[in-house]
Amino acid sequence: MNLQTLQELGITGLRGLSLGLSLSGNAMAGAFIDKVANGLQAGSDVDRDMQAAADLLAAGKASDADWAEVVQGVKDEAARLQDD
Amino acid sequence: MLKIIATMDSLVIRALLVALAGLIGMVLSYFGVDAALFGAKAEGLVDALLLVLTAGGVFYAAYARATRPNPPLTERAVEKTIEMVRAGKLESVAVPPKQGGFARVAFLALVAGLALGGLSLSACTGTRAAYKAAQDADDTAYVVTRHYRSILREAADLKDSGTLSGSALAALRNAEQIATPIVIGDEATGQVGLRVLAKTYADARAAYDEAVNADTREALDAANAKLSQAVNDAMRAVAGFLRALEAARQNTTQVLPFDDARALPAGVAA
Repeated sequence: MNLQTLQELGITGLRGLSLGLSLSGNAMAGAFIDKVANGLQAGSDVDRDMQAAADLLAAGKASDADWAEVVQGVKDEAARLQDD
Repeated sequence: MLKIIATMDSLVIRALLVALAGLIGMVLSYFGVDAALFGAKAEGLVDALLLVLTAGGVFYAAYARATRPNPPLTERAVEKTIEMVRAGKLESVAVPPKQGGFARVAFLALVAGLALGGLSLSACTGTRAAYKAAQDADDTAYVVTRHYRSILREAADLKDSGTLSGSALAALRNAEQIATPIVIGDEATGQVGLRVLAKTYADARAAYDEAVNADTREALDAANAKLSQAVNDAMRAVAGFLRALEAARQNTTQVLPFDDARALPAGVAA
C-alpha cells in the first residue's frame, strides 16, 4: 500500500476518531485529536508536494517553467503571510 | 427492568469495528494502492498486520459474546428479549448499564498514539525523496526553493485560519523576511537568488560538456562554488523558518506532528 495513501487513511481515521470522541461526550479529547489531524494534514500536504518534486527530478531537470512557477509561488505565499 | 445501552458501549460492536477497520485496509490493498514507497517486504508486513487486526477483532468479538454480559442495543431487541422471557425461553436477563472492554477511550488514545507515531515516522518520506533525487547542485537549489514554497504555504494557511497571531506570527514574518531574499533573491538590494545561480551553473556545465578546456573548467568550478554556497545559505535560512514555524505551532496548538527539518541534509538544521 502506498505510504501517502496510508497517511491519508490515518488522518481520515483520526478525524473519525475525533468525531466519535466528540459525539460520545469527550469533546476535549475530540478537539485535541482534531488538532493533531490538522497538523498531520499540513505536513502531509508539504510532503506530497516534495514527492512531486522528487518525481520531477527523477524524470529529468527542472525546466524554466518549473522554476518560474516555484519562484512565483514563494513570492505569492510570502505576500500572503505578510498580508494583514 | 431491561435497558438498552449505547451501540458504542457494546464490547462486541467495538471489537467488530476494529476488525472492520483491518478488513477495509485489506480491501484497499487488494484494489491496488500498493506501490512506490513500500517495498515488497514492508507491504507484506502491513498486510500481515491488517490480517492480525481483523482476526483479533473477530476473535475478541466472539470471546466477548461468549463470556461477557450482552445487554440489548435497540428497543426492538428489548421487546424480543422480554417476549422470550415471557414465553419461558429465557430465565433471566443481565442488565448492566455499561460494558467494559479494551476499546475504551484509553485504548482509542493508544491506537491514536500508535497511528501518530507511524504517521510522523512516514511524514517526511516525500521531502527526503526530493533531496535524495537531486543529482546536482542546480537540482538541490530547485528542491530547496520548492520546499521553502511548501512550508511558506503552510505558514500562510495557518495565518489565514486565524491560529497564528501575536509574537508567533511576528517571529514567522521575521524569519520569512530573512529567508525569502536568500532563496529567490532581492531586486532591491541586487541579491541573486538560487534560480539565477542555478541557471549560470547549468550554462557553465553545458559549455564544459561541449568543449572541455581550462576556461570552461574554471567557469564551471566558479559557478559551482557560488551555487553551492548559496544553496547552503538557503538551507540554513529555510531551516530557520521551519524552526519558527514549529515554535508557532507549539504556541498555538501544542501539536508538533511534522518536523521536516529532519529531512534536510545533516548539519543544516543546527
